[in-house]
Amino acid sequence: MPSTITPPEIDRHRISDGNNGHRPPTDKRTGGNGEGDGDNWNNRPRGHRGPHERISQARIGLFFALGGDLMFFVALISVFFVTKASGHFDAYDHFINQWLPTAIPSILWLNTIALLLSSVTAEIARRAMFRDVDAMDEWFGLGRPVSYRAALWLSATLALGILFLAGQWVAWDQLAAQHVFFRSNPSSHFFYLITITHAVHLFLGIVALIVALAALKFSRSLATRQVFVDTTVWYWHVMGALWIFLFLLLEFGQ
Amino acid sequence: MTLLQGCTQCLDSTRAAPPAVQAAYRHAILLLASAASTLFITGTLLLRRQR
Repeated sequence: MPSTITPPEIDRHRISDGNNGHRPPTDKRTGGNGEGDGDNWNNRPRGHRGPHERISQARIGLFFALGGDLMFFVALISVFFVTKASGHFDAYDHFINQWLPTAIPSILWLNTIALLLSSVTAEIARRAMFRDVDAMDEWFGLGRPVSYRAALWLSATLALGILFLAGQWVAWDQLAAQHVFFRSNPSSHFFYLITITHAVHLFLGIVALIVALAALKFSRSLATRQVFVDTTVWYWHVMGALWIFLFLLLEFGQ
Repeated sequence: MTLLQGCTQCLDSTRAAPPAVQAAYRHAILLLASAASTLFITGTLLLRRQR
């Protein structure tokens, strides 16, 4: 018995356009909104333009937050230069400069290498989140290859970040053993101020990494996972670049 | 009036400072101004691109 297909209701009541044949009852062009550009998310209202808009907004928010932060560090560096040049006049009208350069512990070189490596692993994690084929699989719910790979690299970043902070602690310990403290000299004062302030920021980065790892594990939306990883990694990169600058300042700028 | 006094005091204090300190002030002002300008210009460009 041949199989018969009953035409659907919509095809049995086609609208005649008065010419040969009939118009299809529905617009068959892609997009489905009659304009052919229904897939253009840029035409949607602000706030509903898809994952790319969310990432852009998050990046801009991060840029302005880090802009304020950067100005704080620039102010610190400015005061560093002014204090380095400042002094006072003694009873014989001699200009006395109290700045004695602090010998930077050599472990800071190793810490810097650890932080550079952590930026590399973080960038691998970030790029893994946007690998087209894998991201598409994950978008369709075919496992979590992207999140799994990113979580591995973010964990490596986390470990290197903790290693950096532990190294900074060792550096402070070594200076304390040489009786170089926060108030010993203007130079040591700035060494502690700059390294501790940066360490606090890096600690916030470690918290952000833990939050991003939790998002990779628990968030159900791929776009949310991408936003968390992307912003965390950009924050990490900025802190890494800032450290390179601060380290060069402390090593060669005294 | 207070502001003017503050400006004068600051100016006198800077003039009395040794040349090295004056140079450090100039560097600090340049550093702060260039960082703030860079942030402002980059922020404006980013926002314009976003629109």
